[in-house]
Amino acid sequence: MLAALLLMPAGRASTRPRYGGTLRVELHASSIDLDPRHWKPGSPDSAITEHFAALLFDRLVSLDNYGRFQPQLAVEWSHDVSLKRWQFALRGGVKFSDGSPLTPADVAASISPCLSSGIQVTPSSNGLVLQSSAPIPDLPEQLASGRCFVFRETADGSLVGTGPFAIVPPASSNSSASTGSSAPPELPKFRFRAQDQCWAGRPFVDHIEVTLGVPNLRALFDLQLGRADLVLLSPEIVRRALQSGVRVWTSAPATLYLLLFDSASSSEQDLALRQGVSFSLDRATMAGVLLQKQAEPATSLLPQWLSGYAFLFEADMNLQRAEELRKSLPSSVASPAQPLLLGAEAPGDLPRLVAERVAVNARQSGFFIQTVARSSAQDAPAVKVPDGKVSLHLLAWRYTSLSPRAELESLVKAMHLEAGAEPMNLSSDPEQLYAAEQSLADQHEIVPLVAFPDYVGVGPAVRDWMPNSWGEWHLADVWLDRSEKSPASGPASATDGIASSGAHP
Amino acid sequence: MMLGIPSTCLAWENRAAVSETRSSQLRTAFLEELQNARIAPAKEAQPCGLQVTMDRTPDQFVLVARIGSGDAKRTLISRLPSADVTSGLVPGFSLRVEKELLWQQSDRILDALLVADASAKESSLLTLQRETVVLYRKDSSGWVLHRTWPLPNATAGQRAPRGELTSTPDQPARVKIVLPGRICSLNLNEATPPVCEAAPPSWREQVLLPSPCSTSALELRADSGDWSVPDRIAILDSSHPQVLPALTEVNLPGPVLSISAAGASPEAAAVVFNLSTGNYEAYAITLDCAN
Repeated sequence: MLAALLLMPAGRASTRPRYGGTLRVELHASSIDLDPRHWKPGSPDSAITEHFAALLFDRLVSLDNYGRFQPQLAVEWSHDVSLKRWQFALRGGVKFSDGSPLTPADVAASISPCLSSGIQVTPSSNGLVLQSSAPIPDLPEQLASGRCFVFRETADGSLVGTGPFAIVPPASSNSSASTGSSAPPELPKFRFRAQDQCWAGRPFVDHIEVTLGVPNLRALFDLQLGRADLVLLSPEIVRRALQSGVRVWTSAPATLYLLLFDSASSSEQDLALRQGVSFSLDRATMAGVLLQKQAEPATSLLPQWLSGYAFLFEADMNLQRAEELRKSLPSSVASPAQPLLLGAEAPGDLPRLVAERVAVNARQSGFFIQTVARSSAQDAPAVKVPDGKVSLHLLAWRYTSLSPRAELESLVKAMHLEAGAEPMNLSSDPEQLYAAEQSLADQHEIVPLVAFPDYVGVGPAVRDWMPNSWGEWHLADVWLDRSEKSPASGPASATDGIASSGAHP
Repeated sequence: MMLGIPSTCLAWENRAAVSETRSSQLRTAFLEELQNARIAPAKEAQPCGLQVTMDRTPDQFVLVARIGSGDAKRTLISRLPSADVTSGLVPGFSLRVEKELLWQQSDRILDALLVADASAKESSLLTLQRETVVLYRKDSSGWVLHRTWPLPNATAGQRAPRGELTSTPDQPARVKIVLPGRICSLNLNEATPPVCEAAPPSWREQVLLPSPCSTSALELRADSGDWSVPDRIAILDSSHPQVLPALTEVNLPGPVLSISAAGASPEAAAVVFNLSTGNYEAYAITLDCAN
C-alpha cells in the first residue's frame, strides 16, 4: 500500500460548482423596469429591479465584503493628490450582449447621469477621465452602487449590457416557461439566459426565470414545495418562514420608514408641533411588537452600517416633553376637530400599520392624527404632496448608494429638504456629514421611524448564495444542486441567515 | 484625531465585526498615540471623559470619539479604508498539530503543493494562480518568493477557474500542471516557463496520505458543497471511507478549494478561502501519530 502511495501523483478532494439548470425567482412586484435611467432614488421598487439589472449590466468597479474595491469593467484606476481627477483604464476585449465592443464613450454616457453633479466624464483612448472642481473621495463608492451600470442603447431603444446574462425576449420567455414552475401562465415572467462569452466567465445556471406578481404567501409555499429557488419575503411572513424551516437570508437594514412633515417652517409653533409628535413616537414598540422584531428602530436617516455614526443619534420617546410642547400650541392645532392628516405613501400593508401606530403614539401626548390612504403610492418616495390637506407623510426610502454622502444627498433632494433654506453643502468628511444630518434632525421635518432589512427565502438547491450584506445578490455565482432532499425536511434555524459571506472564492 | 485633553479615562467599544484581539491591538495603538501626545489616560476617572467607538461600513472603518460631557461635549469622527485595517486581522502564523497557515494573499490561489525540494533545506510551497506559478521557500524570516513562472494562455475569464499541481515523490522538482484542456510540465530547477500541450483534464477526486501510525493510507476529504460556508477536512480510513466515521477533522476558516499531496510524507497542502478576511490561504495539513 505504501509503495503504491509513493508512486501516486498528487491528488485532491474538493467540491466544484456545477453548471446548468434554471434558477426560479418569485417576486411580489407586478413589474420591473430594467432601465437604470428610469429608477427613482430611494424607491423600493427600483431596488428590487437592481438585483436583475445586475444580471445584464456591469459596473466599473465593485465592492467586496472585505472593504476592497474590485475591478470589473475598469481594470485599474488612480487619482491625483487632491482627489479631483480620476483615471480609469477599461478592460480590453469586452463586448455587449449583441456582440458590439464596449467603448469608453459607452461607459461615459452610462455613468455620467448617475454621478454627483459637477463631475465631468471624458472618454480617453482606453478609459475615462473623471474631473471635478471638488474632491470626490467617494467616487469608487458611487461607481460601485446604485444606478451606475454600464450599458448601450440600441436603435430600438432597448439597452444591452456586458453582464453575465441577457434577457430572453418576452415571446420566447412565455413559450419556454415550462421549466418546472407551476406558476399560472398569466403571471408575467422575465427570463434571462447565461452569456457564454461573458468576460467574467459563464454563469453557472443556464437560465434565471423571474415570476412577477406572486402573492407573498404563495411565494413562500412555492419555495417550500420546491417550485421556486429564491423568493423575496415580506417582513410579515418571515417569522412563518423561519418556523417552517425555510432558509432565510437577511441583509443589513435596507429600507427606512420615515415621517415627512409638509411644513418646513422654522416658526416656533411649527417646530414645536414637529418636535412634539417626534417625542411621542415609540420606535422600540413599533419594531419589537408591531413588526415582530423584523425591523429595527431608526433614529437616523443613514443607517449605522453605512455611516458608522448613527448610534450618536438619540430619539427616545419623551412623553413629558411631548405633552409640554403640546400645551405650548393653540388648542386647535392637531385637535380632534382639526387633526393632522397622515398619508401612508409606501405600498403594502406595513406602512398603514406603522402610520396607525404613529397616530396612537401621538394621541398619548394630545396630538390628534388621522391616517389617510394614498392611492398613488407605487412610486414612493414621491415628491411632497402640496395638496394642503395632508400634513405629514409616511414614506419608504431604500438605501441604494454605498456612499453615505451621496445617499444623504439623494434623500435630501428627493424630500425637498433643501428648499427654502440654505443649500446643503454635503461633504464626504464624516464629521461634516454628521453635522448635516444632525441639523436635519434638529428641524424634525423628517423623522426616521424604523428600518427593515431585505429578507430572501433561499431554496435547498441553491449553492454559493453569497450576497453582500447591503443587498447585492451575485446570482451569476450561484449554482444549483437539485440532488438535495425536500426543503421541508431541513432543520429550522433562525440563524441560518448567512448574514455575511464572502465574495465568490 | 487630535485630542486636546490632558488626562482622561478611555472607554473603548468595539461595535465592528473585528476580533477582540484586533480590537485590543487597536486600543493599545490608540493609547500609545495618546501617550505620544503627552496625554495620560487615567483608568479610574469618572465619568469617563473619552469614549471611542469602532465600527465598520462596507468600505470604511469608522472611529467615533466623544469627549467631555454636557455643553462641552465634542464628537470627532475619523475614517480609514477598512481593507487597510482588516489586513491585520489574520493572526500571525501559529503552529498547530493539524494545520499550519503557510501563505495568504488576496489574489486567487487555484492550488498549492508542498514540494520536498532537495536543493532547499526546507520544503518549498508551490502555488498555482490564474496566470502564474509561484515558488516560495522558507528561510529564517518566513516564506519568501523564490521564483515565478508565467502560465501560457492564462485562465482569466473563467468564473470558477481550475487548475491542479501534481508531482511524484521520486521527482519532486518535475511538476505537472493540469488545466482545463491542457497539461503543462514545469521543472522547478529551471527558469523556463511551463511547456503545455493539449490534453483532456485528468482531475483527481481523492487525496491519500500514508498514515504515520500504520502502513495503511488515509484519505483527506473536504465535505462542503457550498463555498459560502466554512469547511473542514476529514481524515478517513481509505479502505472504508464511506462506512467508518472520520478519524479526525480539521476546521478551516472557509471553503476548501483544493487539497494536494505529494504522496511520500503525511503532509498535504490545502487552499482555503477565508470568509473572515477574503484572503486565499495555503495550509499545511500534517498528520502526526503522537497526536
